[in-house]
Amino acid sequence: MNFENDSPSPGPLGYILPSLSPISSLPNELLLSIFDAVRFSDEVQVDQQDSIRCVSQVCRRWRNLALEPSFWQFVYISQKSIDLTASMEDPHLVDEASIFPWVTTVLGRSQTLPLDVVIELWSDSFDPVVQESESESERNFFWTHSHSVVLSRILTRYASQLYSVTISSQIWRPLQDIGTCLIGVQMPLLQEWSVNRENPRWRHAFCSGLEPGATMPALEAPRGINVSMEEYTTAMFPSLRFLSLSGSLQDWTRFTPSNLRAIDLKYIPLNCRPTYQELKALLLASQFSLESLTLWGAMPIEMGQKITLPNLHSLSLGFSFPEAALCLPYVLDVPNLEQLEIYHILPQNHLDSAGSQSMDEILISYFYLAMIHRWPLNQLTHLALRSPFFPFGEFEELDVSFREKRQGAWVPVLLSFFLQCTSVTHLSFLDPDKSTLRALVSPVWMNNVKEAIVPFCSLRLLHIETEDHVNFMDFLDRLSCCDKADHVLPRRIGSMTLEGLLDWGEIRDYFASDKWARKDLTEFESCLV
Amino acid sequence: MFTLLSEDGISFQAERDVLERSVLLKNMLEDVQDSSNSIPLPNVASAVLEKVLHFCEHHRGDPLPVPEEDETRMRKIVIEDWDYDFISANCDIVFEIIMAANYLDIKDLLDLGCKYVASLIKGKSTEQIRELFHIVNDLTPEEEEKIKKENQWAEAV
Repeated sequence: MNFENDSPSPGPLGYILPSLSPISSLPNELLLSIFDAVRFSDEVQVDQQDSIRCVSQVCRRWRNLALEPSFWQFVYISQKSIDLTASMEDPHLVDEASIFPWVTTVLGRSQTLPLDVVIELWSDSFDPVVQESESESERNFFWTHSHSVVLSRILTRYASQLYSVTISSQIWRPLQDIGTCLIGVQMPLLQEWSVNRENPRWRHAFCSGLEPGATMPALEAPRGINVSMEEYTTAMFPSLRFLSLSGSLQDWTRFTPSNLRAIDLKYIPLNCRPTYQELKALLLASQFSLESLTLWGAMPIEMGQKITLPNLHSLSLGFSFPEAALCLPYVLDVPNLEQLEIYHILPQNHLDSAGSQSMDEILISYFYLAMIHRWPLNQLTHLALRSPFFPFGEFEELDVSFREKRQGAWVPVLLSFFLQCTSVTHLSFLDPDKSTLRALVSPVWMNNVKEAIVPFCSLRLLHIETEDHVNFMDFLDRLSCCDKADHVLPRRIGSMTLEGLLDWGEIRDYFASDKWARKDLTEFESCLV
Repeated sequence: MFTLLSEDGISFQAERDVLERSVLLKNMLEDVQDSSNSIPLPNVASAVLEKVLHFCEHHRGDPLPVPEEDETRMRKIVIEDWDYDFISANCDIVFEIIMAANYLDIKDLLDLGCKYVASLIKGKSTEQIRELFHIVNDLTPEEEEKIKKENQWAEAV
């Protein structure tokens, strides 16, 4: 096609590239490279696919090239994928393409290549504070059991190509339906399996509204088989390496994956959490391969003997009951830990009750003390705290002892914890309380040391997400002053990123003002949400 | 110093480490000990060769992309500031630059050109892409009808 002859008048976008040479002069191989770049120009896979779809409809040559199977390895399925006008008398017999037209089109284009499948089901009237069975969301949710059956037929047909599967739903029922239909389906390429019951946090302490024994059983062994659970899982899903379950229920006696690289368990209802023995079996089956472990509201309360995970580099713990976390430093032996995240997931009513808050504070202190004594904090490079809360009174006392140049009678446990983390270069606080920010800027005198010390001497990145403007400005004030005070060992911060409902204008002015004494911190970035 | 001769007969001089950003030229230079003979590049016009050499000059000394990372490299969305300024300043000859980078086998320049064009395509509708590149829609009414049906469900996503 000749650019000069074929385009008599530039369109509304013509001004962008006024004298472009024709893209059509590029050989197929280079056009494909551009389409490949189009695919990866977005981080969100749905948008990637949308861009490729637009590209595939430009002209015949582009269409022929864009229908290359590698561009169609991602399949996104939602309730909007359903053709509600199609009749479905028997979900076991109906033509799958008539119910899920676009899904079957994309799958057909992928030919035999590995597939990433994302299923996201939500309800416009989802209300997390209403019991699921009584909720409008379930009544208005038009994804029926039949839709789960048809979709499962499709997934079964492409099971040999499934590489990663993510199934998310606000409503529990489709998870169980799809899971039941997929029992016994072999997925030889499956690397990543992720099931999320959306917004499950509100009910992670219990799971009323679901029938007893409800699970998402897709990967569970069928009843009555004569092999061990581990043998079954290895035979059916030999490539499985990443397991992520959030708010999802699993019968751990029927599912024992091995050689996993990452396990991510979040918000498991209290009466469905793995027992210590089940958790131990799960971890030991991947003892030497496990690199990353996330347990948020998923730990059993009762714990047993020590479990060594020699190759675990990343550990993220979230606890809604401090007693569940308390045992972990004694049970988990993590000699090569490099990244640690602690998430204080405490329901609001815990904070409102003075008695229980006080008990929680004591248990959390013991948990942090146990980490100090049991885990190799001095080799951590990344540390993140989410929603931490600690008593503040001790820090005021610490200020007095610092001014008087004497060692305080008592160093707050959080500060002791921080002082052990001598190699941390990346520090992240999400929704920190006053004490946590204060611990970062509280110099302490130690015996036989001529200068007061502050934690985290050499940070490459400090990331803070907070909506508490007053608390943050107080922190900035102290950050500016404390490290520059006489007799305080210097600390370097490479860059700082801020996120949250902050008045960025005021903070920027602060950085530009004389109040800001730090010269080492030269890079700031703010993401206003 | 080596001399390159563009397709329109203009000579350009550059040092070995600049030219070795191009796998093609690197291989050629291994066989050429004598730098007195110019190297003809019959597929590259002088206006394009000048820009290509500018790019190679800026990146001299950078580690060369390794073939094992060909796939992951394309997945990196971020374009360095200098590279972005360079390619957008030369957007009128971006396709010639892509073809020259492909011919000379300069992987990072080829990636840059492709990513830049991709950034122009990203987020645009089919009709807007046609307008941007002045492409005539040669699909038949039947094909159009099929696409329309496809979109009914794809766009709902």
